Amino acid sequence: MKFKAFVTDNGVQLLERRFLPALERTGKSCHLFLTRDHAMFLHLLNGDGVQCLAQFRKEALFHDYRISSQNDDRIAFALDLSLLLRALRSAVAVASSASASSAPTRLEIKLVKKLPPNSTQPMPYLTLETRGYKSAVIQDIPISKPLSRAQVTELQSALDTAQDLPQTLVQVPDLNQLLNLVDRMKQVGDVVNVFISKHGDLSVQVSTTLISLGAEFRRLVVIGEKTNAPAEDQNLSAQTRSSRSISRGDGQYVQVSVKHFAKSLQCHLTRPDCTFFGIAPQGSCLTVIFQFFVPGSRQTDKSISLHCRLPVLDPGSG
Amino acid sequence: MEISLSDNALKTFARCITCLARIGNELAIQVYSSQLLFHTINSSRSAYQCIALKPGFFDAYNVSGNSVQCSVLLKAVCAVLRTPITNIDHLTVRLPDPDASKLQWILDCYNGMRKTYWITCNVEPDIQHLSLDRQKFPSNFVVSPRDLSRLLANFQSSLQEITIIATEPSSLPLDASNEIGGKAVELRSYMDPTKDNDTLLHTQLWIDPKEEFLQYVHTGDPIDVTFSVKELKAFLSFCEGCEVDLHLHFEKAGDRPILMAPKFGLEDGSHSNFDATLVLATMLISQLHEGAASEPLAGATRTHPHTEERNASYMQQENCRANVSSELPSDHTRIWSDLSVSAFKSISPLEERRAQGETILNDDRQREMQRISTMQISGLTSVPGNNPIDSNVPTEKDHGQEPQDAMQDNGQAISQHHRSNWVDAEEDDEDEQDEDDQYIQPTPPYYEEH
Repeated sequence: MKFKAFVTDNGVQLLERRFLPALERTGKSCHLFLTRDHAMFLHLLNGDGVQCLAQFRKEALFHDYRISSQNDDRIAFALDLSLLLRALRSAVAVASSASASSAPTRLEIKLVKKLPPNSTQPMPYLTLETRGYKSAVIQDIPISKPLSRAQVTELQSALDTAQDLPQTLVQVPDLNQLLNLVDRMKQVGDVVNVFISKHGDLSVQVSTTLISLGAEFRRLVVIGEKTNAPAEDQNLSAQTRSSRSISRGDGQYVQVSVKHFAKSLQCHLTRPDCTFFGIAPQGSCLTVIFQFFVPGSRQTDKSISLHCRLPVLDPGSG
Repeated sequence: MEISLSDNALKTFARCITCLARIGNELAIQVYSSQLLFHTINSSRSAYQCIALKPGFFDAYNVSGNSVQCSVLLKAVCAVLRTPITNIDHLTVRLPDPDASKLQWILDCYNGMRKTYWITCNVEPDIQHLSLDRQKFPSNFVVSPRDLSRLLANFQSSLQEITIIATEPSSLPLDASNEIGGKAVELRSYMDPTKDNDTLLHTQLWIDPKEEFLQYVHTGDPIDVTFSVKELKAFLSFCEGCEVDLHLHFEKAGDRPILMAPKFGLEDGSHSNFDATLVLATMLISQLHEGAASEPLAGATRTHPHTEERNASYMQQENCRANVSSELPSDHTRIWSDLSVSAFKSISPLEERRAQGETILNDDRQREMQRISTMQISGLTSVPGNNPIDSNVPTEKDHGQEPQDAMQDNGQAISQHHRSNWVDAEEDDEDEQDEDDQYIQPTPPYYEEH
C-alpha cells in the first residue's frame, strides 16, 4: 500500500485556507479516501450526525500523485482534522521561507509506517515534509489503520448513496444572511422546519410555544424539477402557501436539528460561489450543495465538489 | 517592610506575578536591603523560578531590620491584580512587622478608590534556593520571543514536552550541494512512552541557528535536552511582555537542568533593575539513542519498564534510571537529582506527588544536603549581599565524558544528517522498504502509466 504526492500551491490554498477549517467544524475527524483519480474528505460513517463530502480531483490538490494498493488502488483511513490543519500550516510556514531563494515549493505528503520512540509497534502516519531557507520540518500525523477491503467497500457504498441528489434544488442568494438567521435561531429552539417548493420557495423556521423565528426566500433559482407558482397563492400567508404547495405535491417539508443546520453552514468558510438546498425523495434528508466556479469565470469547477446531508427528525409529508 | 511602585514598573511587576503563577502555587518573598526576591516551584518540583527586583525598581523601598521573608498563595496575589493595571495609580505592599500573619496590598486607583487586601501568609513557608551559574553551561542560544513563538507554532498546542537537539553548526553555505546546510538545531515533540500517543502530532523541526537565533553556542558532539513546554511558554510570554530576548542555557540530558533568563541589551544586564531565571528539570533519558530503538534487542529492553504495575511507579522509575546508567553514564548533579527524578515522576500516574529522596545518601550527598540546609539557614539569617542568581559558587561536579564515537554516531543518525528524514532522490529504496512491511499489505511495485 503506497501513497505519495506533492501538494500544489493551489492545493495549499484550498485546503489550508478554505476546506480544512470548514471540515474541522463539521466534525473533529473524518475519513480521507484516496483513489486513482480523486482525494475525498468524508464525514460519512458518523451515525446520526451531519454527513459531509468534499471531493477533489487529484490535480486540484496534488502533482506527482502516486497511489497503489491491492484494493483497486483505493486507500482510506481516519484522521484528526485539527492535526492535519496544524501540520499543513506548519509546512506552509516553513516552505514559504523558501521564497527568498526562489526555489519551487516542495511539500510532500505520503503515507508511511514508523516506529514511535520507545515503542516496538509500528504505527501508520500521514507525513508532511518540506524545507525552507531557514528550517525544515517533518510532521507525522497519526492516522487509523487503513481500512480493510470490506470497510472500503462499506465506505464506497455510503459514498455512492450520498451522491444521490434531490430532484429539486433551490439556490440561496446570500449565504451570510442565512448564517446570521441561523445564529439567532439557536437561541430560540432546537428544531428548524425547512420547506422547499419547486417554484423557488425556501422557508426556515424555529417555533416554540412562545416565539417563532424564521425567514422565507421566494422566487429563488431552481435547478431540476420546476413548477410555476400558482397565481392565486400570491397574497396568502407563507404558512398557508406552504400547506397548499405540499398538498399539490410540488413542495416538501422536513425538520432538522438547528445544530446540524448551523454546522452544515460552516462550509461557508470554503467560500462557495453558489449554495443550493434540496430535500431528498421521501424526505429522507436535507441536502446542502456548495458549488465553486473556475476562478475568474462563472463556469462550474468540476474538479471540486462539496455537499452536506442532514438527517431529518421526522419524515417529511411528501 | 513597605514597598510601592507604579507606571511601567507596575506593569512589569504584574507580568512577574503572572509568570510565577503559571509555574507554581506558592510565592516565597524575601526582602533584603539590596533586593527583593520572588521564588516559586511547581508541585512536582521540576520547575523553579526566581525573580530579583532591585530597590531602584520601586518608587519606595523600605526594609525594617536586615531582611524580611514570608510566603503567600499566588492565586491570592493574582486576585489582587485582577484590577486592570491601567486603573492603578500605584501599588503598596506592606508587612507591618516580620512576624505579621498577613501581607497588606493597597491599590490606589486613578478614580480615587483605594482597595486594600490582606493576604494571609503561609504558616510554614517553603523557601527554596537554587543557585546555578549560567556561565557554566556549555551550550546556549538567544532567541527573540516572537521567533520562538513562531517556531513553537509548528507543534501541537497541547504538546507536553519538547526535545532540543543541538549540533555543531556546519560551515557549509546554504546553497551548497548539501541541502541540509546549516540547520544545526532540531526541535522535536517528545512522545511520552508511558502514555497513549495515538492522537499526538509528531513534529521534527530543523532550524538554522544563524537565521533563527540571535546567538548560538555549541561545540562538539550532539546533545539533547527534553523539558516541559508549559513553563517554557510562560517564560516566553514574560520575556515578550518585557520586550527582552530569551536566553536558554543547557548541557545535556540526564540530571542536568536547563536555565532560562532574559537577555538584556548589555551582556551583563547590570543596567536593568530586575532579573529572572527559570530552571527546568530535564528528562533523564537521552533521545539521541532513539535510533537504537529500531533494533529488536534494544526495543525489548526499553519496553521492560512499561510492564511494571501502576503501584510500583517508583520501581519503574528506578528501572528507567538503571537503563540510563547502563546505556548512558551521566554526570551526577546532586542538587537537581531529586528534581530530575520528579520530572520523570511528573509524567507518571502519580503526577504532582512530591519527590521522594533516595533512601541512601553517600557521604558526598550528605555533605551536599548539609550545604543546602546551610544555604537556607543563611537566607533566614539574612546574610547581606546574598544573591542566589549571581552566585559563583559551583554546585555541579563533572564526572567523565560520554563515549565520543558512540555519541557522534547516534547523533548523526538522528539529527540533520539522517537521509531518511529528508526528501531526496532515494525514494525508490524507501518504497521498497514500504513493500516489505508486514503491517500494510504488500503491493506490487508502482508503475507509472503513460
